[in-house]
Amino acid sequence: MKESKDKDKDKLIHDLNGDISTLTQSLHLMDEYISCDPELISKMIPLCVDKIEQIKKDWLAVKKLMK
Amino acid sequence: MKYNFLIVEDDDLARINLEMFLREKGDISHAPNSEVALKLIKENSYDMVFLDLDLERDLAGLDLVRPVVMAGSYPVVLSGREDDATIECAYNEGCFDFLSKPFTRASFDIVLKKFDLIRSSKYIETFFKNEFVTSDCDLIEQLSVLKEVIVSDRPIYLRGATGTGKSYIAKLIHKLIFGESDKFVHLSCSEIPENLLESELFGHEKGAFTGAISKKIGKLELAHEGTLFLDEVATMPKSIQKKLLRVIEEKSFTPLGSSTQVTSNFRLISATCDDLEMMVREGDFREDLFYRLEGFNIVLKDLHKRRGDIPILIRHFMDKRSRRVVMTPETMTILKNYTWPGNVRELEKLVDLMVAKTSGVITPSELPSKFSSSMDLAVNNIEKEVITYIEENGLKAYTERIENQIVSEFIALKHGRIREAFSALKISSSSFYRIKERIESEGE
Repeated sequence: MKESKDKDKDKLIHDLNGDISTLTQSLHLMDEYISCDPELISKMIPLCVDKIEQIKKDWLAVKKLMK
Repeated sequence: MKYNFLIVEDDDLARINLEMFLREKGDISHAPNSEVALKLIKENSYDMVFLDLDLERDLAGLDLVRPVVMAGSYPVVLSGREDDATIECAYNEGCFDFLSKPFTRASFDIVLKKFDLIRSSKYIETFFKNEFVTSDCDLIEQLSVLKEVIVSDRPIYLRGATGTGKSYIAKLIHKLIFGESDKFVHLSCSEIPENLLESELFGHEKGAFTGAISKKIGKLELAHEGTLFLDEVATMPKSIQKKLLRVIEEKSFTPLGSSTQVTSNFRLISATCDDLEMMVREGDFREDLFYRLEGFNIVLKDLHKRRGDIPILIRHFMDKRSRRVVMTPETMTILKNYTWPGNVRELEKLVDLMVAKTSGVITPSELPSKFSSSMDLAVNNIEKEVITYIEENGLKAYTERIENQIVSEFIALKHGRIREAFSALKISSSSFYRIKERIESEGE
């Protein structure tokens, strides 16, 4: 994945949108599977954390571009 | 039906999300970029390929749509891109469906169900072309319900005489629902002695009855997550009918001599050559069970009621054999006139016999003796007297004689009113007067 500083505004917004969608979907699925497949959920948590970090970085970059 | 899926996605979290939707539907492979995806598509066969659009570069997934189509798979694009130009481009490349992220399980299931339907229509088309050959419109119309069997859990009831293809259809339905699964359990109720049928169906524990020297798993249990095909169901004794009814309702039963309940979830296909409705009316078959067996009802016609299929089936069976032979038109006429009590099975056996035995040209004299009555029928279509007349005077003289007779009779019928006679005959006035002159000149 490209670093946030190398992306233009449109690309940043597009990626933010995609990442938020994926994260939302993951949270719904984790809620559905938490009792029947906790092992899978434990694999997903670090990926969700990474995704949140990426969203944070991209959001900061967008804010910077908007100023 | 179990499928082979390929997910082309560079984001691990998005991939896992998708795998969670697909994991009960089939086997899943994964490609993190276009290069790996192209390699996998080339080396393997996938039913559906899910493509993310933005991979190693923006819109790289679009370039994969066409190779996926060329490989015979169905591409489904999953993307957060909402612009019409991208969506149009994906469809123009040949994508099957375009789902916007984040998609719900319900919208995803619709895509899978749509794919199921397309796949089954394709399979049914091939089935009619290669296995169940017919040009009979009624039969094709009836069998069109096969497309619906995969999206419903109703039972299937087949009725038709022996040799009409009930087992063929049952196997097709199993394949439509369960794919290549071998869980197709066939039980012909008429072939098992009454006292053994119960244990055959329900299974038994060791020592459950005299002769039960070991534990036996019943057909009901073997059919779990598959198809139970009950052939000749009309011959099932009433005592077992009652027990079967309970299993169909509760999806569970207790094997003979056991105290443990067994659960079995099976798709039921029943078949018979008897008139079950009549048997119900006469009290020979349980009414409640009959209504449980019914669902998708298919009546397979006797071969003599679809004579148009006979030449097509003969050609089909002849083409399947490696030895090439030909059949004379006279032989074909005889076979078309035959009653075929054994239906398609009998016809296939005859073709086998003919292909193996004849000199290469199948003539009437080479047919087995049972076809002699059909030979008479074929010859009787033209009366012997007519044959003699034509042999002596020629066909032209014979047709003129018929014309003369008919025109004379019509003139008499219309009491000599010429105009009425020739308009009733639907011929031109010149043709009428030509025939009339011939009658008069012959009378002189």
